[in-house]
Amino acid sequence: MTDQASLDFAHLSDLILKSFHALERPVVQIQLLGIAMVISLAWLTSKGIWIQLQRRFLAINYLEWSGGKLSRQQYAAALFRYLFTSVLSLVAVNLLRKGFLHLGLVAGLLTVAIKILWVFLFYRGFLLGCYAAFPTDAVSRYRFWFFAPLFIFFVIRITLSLLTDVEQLAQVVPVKLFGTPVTLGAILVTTVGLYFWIVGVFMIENLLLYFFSAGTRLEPGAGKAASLIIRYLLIGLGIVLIFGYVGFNATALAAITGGLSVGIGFGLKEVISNFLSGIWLLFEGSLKPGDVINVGGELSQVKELGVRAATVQVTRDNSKKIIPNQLFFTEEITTYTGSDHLVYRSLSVGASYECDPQKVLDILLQVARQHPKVLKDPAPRAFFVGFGSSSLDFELKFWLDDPLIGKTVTSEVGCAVWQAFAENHIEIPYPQRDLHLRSDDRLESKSERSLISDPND
Amino acid sequence: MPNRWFAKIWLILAALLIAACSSSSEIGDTHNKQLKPLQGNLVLWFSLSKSYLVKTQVAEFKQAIRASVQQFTRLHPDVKIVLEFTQDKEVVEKFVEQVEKGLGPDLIHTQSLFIPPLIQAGALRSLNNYPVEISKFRPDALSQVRYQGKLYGLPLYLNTQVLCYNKDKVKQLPQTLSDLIAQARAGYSVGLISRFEDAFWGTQIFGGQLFDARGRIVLDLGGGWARWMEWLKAAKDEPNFILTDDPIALQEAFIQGRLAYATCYSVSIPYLRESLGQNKFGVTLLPGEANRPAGPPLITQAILFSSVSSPAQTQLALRFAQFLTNPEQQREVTSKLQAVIPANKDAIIDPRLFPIQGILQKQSRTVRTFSLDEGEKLNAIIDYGNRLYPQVLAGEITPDAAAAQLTRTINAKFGLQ
Repeated sequence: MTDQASLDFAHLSDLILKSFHALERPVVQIQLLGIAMVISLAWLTSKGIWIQLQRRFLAINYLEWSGGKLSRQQYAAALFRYLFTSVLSLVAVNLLRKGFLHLGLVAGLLTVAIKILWVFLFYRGFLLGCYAAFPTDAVSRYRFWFFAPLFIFFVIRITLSLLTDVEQLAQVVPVKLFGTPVTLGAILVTTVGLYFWIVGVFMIENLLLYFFSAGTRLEPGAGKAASLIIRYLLIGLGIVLIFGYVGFNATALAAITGGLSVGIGFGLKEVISNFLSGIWLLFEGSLKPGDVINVGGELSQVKELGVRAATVQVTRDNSKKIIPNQLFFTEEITTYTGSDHLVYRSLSVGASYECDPQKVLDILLQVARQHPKVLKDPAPRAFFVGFGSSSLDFELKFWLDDPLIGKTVTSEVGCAVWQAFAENHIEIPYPQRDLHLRSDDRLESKSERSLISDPND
Repeated sequence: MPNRWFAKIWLILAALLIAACSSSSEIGDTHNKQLKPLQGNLVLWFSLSKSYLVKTQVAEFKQAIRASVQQFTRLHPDVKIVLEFTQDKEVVEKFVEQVEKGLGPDLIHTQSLFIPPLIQAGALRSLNNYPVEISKFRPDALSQVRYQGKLYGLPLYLNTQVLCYNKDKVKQLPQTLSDLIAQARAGYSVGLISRFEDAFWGTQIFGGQLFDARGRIVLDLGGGWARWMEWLKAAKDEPNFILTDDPIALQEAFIQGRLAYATCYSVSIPYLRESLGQNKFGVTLLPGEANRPAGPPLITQAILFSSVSSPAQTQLALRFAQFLTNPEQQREVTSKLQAVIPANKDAIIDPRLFPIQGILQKQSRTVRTFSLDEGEKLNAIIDYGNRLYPQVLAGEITPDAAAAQLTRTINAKFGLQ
């Protein structure tokens, strides 16, 4: 091991030693104990008050993060439950600090604890604000994956800065990669930094989707596609920035990947093809989440556009298909929601020959207009299409704005047509044949003779 | 979930505290402690002034200190010492910041003049109640680690002023002030710093002194300082004699070979030696007169003790400080640096092997020492004196009048009439 490497590991072991060294001091022990005790006391006190409140106001017992937004009463209860402990702890530690100073005791760590508690209070308040404004399940998710780890990271940093120079610690080189020293700071930025960046990007994406769906006229599918593009761009940017910041040795990577490029190329050909197809689809906008398409002869709705494949839900049986993005590039796909979501359906019906065709047309149009899902614009149209063998044939055409409800609406319109025909005494005839009886002398004589010369007589 | 996390965090904290408490030694009697093998952890901050050392010398100095630490830990394998180097200017602020939290080093190496402000900040521990062997230290050095009757540290290294010269230019070294003038007239350029504290070394030559036994300022008594100022006034009119209040410019001029002589502090010797060249650089005593040598100030670097260390840590710190100040360690470091004087009387360095060290040792015998108790007065004197200096040199005010004015003003300020 080189001297520099020994020194660097020594730096880390020194840090551990200094931590234990500090904890050996009574002045430190008293401060930490004091902080622990007052915070525990504050927690117990707020818990006790909360229990009393629960007994008195039963409604606040149902404070659950049910996935929707909180009601005002729930929010008020949450305000108390999630902020009171922090506020009480802050007050208690402040009082303890004043007490320590009055007694001439060392109280610097209490000042640090107060600083952390202020940040914690702000963090809790911020989360509460998010719970009030956004869906609670989403906030809980990002609280667990982003905000809580960020707060923990902040506390760790503050604690480390008490014991050592953090900038210096970040320069420690625990390992060398391809001959390049990799510092602790670089490792931290690459792992923790990248983690926060990616989770942050997902959070921004969800936020954008929320705002798109809330107030704008943007189609949900278009909003999702836009947020996906932003996600990929930001993640890519983040990776480039982070690796640039840490001084990643691209030459070394290029040297290695150059040798493996042939193998990698063949092996990842499909993956890369699918990835590029996905990106292209997003930018092109020909396919986006929410679109209704016909793929493999089945009506399906696009649920998600991923890096490698798209997930579609088959309407027939609610199953999901995962289709590689490449397929959308190479095969013909029918989409019902390309430029708009309008789709038209038609219903064929026959009326008896005794009916007035114009009356039938009027009835058909009336029925169509009365249905709530049939669009007024474009207006429904009814046609007399021909003299059928059994009936006068008519066709009713109408527009819908959701391809997925076509069958349901057609069925309802059909039933309404039958009802309207029945009320207006219009018969829907069965298939009919005219039977003509015709006389033939030759056949008559033969039959008479056969009757007269009956051998049985 | 949060309640479980809470509980886990408190459990971890409690475990750490218990571990730490169990590792803290109980306070037993000193005799038992001395029999038991030394064990524990120490944190030591060593300050160094990078402005006086070039990069390689910084590395050498650090190596020398590390070697001392390693020797101690070899003798006491159960002791672990964390050694950190800090900048001179930052050390006090950083130390106080840490002590306010109960953290920071057990020992800190810095200039003794920082002792009063550190005491005010409550950062230092008095050693009066500890069994410390101080008879081995120079009394003048000890006076600079005592404050208001209490001992606050152990003197480690001393430094003072000497006369640096360029061997290529100089043929004969001046012994007296008259020699210096004669050399200047002969074309050997001389540079002196004309600030009160940096030029005070000449006051002793003319019999002047700053304080009397009661601590009153007596600069005007006997006219010693005034005569020194007269001499400086006359000298500045000599050819090749430069008086400047810019020590950096003087240092630069010396390094560039434009000066044959320049007064310098011993801590800057490594830098000057490196910059001018080992073969060209030399040091000699500041010139005096026959029975009156120059009296440059003595500046002490000391090892100070944190007020927040645990009793066990303080005991260990004392043992280590005494190790650092033993003659062998002192000789080791000072002979390597050749820039400081050992505070331990018994750390004698052979001047034949280390001529520079020999000169420093010799000069340190005629130093003028000011105790820490006089620090506040001294700061006021320096401040006022620096205002008077240019006026005296420019002839606006006579040296006697300046001496009288300074004495009167400062005595009045401190109620010392």
